[in-house]
Amino acid sequence: MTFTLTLSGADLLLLLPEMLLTVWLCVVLTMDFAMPRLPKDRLAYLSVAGLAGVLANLVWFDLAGIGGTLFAHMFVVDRLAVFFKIFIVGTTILVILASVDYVRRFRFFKGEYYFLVLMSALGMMFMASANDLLSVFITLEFSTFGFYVLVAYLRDDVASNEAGLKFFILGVFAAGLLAYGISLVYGETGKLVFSDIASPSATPGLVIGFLLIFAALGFKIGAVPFHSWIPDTYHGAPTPVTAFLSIAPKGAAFAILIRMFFVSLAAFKPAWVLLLVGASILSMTYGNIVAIAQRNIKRLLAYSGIAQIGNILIGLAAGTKMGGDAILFYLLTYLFANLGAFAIVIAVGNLIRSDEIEDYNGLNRRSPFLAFAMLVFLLSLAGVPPLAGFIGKLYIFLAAIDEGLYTLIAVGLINIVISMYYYLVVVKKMYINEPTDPSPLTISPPMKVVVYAGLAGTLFLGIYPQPAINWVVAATLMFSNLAGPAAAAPTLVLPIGG
Amino acid sequence: MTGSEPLLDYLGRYFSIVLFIGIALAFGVVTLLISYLVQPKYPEAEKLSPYECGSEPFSDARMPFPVRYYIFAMLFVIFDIEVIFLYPWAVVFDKIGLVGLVEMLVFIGLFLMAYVYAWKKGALEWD
Repeated sequence: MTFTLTLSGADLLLLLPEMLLTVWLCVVLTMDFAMPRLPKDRLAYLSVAGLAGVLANLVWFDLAGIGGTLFAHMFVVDRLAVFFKIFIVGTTILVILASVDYVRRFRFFKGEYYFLVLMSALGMMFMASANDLLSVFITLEFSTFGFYVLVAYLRDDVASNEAGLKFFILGVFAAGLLAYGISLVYGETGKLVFSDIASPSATPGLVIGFLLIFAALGFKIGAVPFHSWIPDTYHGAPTPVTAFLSIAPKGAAFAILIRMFFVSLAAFKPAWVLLLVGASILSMTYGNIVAIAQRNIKRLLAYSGIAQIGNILIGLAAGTKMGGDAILFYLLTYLFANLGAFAIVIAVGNLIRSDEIEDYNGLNRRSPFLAFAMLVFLLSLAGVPPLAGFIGKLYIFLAAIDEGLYTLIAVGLINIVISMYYYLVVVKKMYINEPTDPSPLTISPPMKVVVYAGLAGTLFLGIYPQPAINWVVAATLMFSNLAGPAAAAPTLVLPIGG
Repeated sequence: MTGSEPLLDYLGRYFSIVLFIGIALAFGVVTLLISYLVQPKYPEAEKLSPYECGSEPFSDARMPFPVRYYIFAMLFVIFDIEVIFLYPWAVVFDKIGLVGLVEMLVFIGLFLMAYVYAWKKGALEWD
């Protein structure tokens, strides 16, 4: 076998966003150790500047329709990959801005924090482009390494150490499942690239292999029954890391799930619809019911996150192009609402050093802006019109109706009612209860930027969703041949806006 | 591979592996068992002590010791792996040409940066 390495200029262009970010994270790390007296806030803004450059590059890819595959189809750049990369880079920018205040509290390794966040973002960008089971494994591990360290960043805090340990052990276990599943699938088909695996028959090895891969990705997105690490890890991790962990890896994992189910397993749709419906119903119901009992806002958002993942799985269960569109749109709404809610938790946590829901009593008296923003984010997560979450849920339910998944929709609607309860309990505490300490709270400029971005995104996607819908519809065009009655009318036309 | 293949036939293809596992297990168990049964047994104090196998243990191995050992071991492993990657690269160097050279320079450059990082952060100092 001869080995040749050929990389033309056009090939390198496809890697440009990743190369830019690699160079930039080296610059950030070098600045950290070469200039020890540089204020660490500057590193945050330096990171954001680099990410903005990467974002501009990705937007250019999206507008110019640049795409292709590299390394024998291991790495693919298409509209879907570019969508998820923009999603991940956007999340990372907002998370870094939301971290600036929090990082001042760290005693050690303030500069490395930004480096690790950038490194995880780089890994997730590769995940969005993974088109082959081997690159899935490598990129998934690459993106998780940074998180293992970030979750346990508060070295003196027992909860953070415990969170890191739990996340590490279960993460390694999931990696084992993934590797085992990949070996079975490879043994059965002799292929690794998603589009080649499409096997004519379901042999036992293939079924077990794909179930194991699904289990490993289920750990990553935190779907029931693979959710056990979520509450403790979210609770113990530094809050900006929790915010990052609750959004960006979910998006990257869904990029892989969409490719796996819609490309490799398209022929076996009747078999996996049941699996996904089950995981979706369990995640929604478990997440929402257990969230009611939570007294800590981070745990509440952790369980609400499990329920939101259940909602997104509805789109995957629909298994149509419209289902894919709905997943992408829902992730956008989830990004703004969830990151916004976590930004408020970070801001309040920095000021009063507490994440207990009791301490949100009378937040409206102390800071009307924070209370109002939290209200908007929680209502969007619950799915109240005219906010983004409403359109997201509508879109995903419409995709499921087209496929006749009525049980799933019924359970989803009941769950919206349950979720309304615990979101509104927080709202009630903020607006009706009396504060124990009425001193006013003020937030820093970078935090304000994040909250405004969250508000803008939540309101814009809710009131005028057409541009975003056009974008997600274009991102999943390659799935337009998927079977299903929805193929004839793949776009959602809304009575409002466009 | 066809879909109509019966499950037993399908699993039957793995029979040789199962057989091999069985033989491997049996070999280990039987060897130990036979040597245990036929060996002469004259236990005495000198015979039970570690002979030419290191010194007598003087305390429990589970005690706190400086984490620096790990840092040095980790740095060593990383650079060890760098060298391992250099071997296959050197073997196919004439086939991959300039691109391969640039790739390896980038790779070594990243390692160099990590080395300078560890150095500047004081990971190589033993105080």
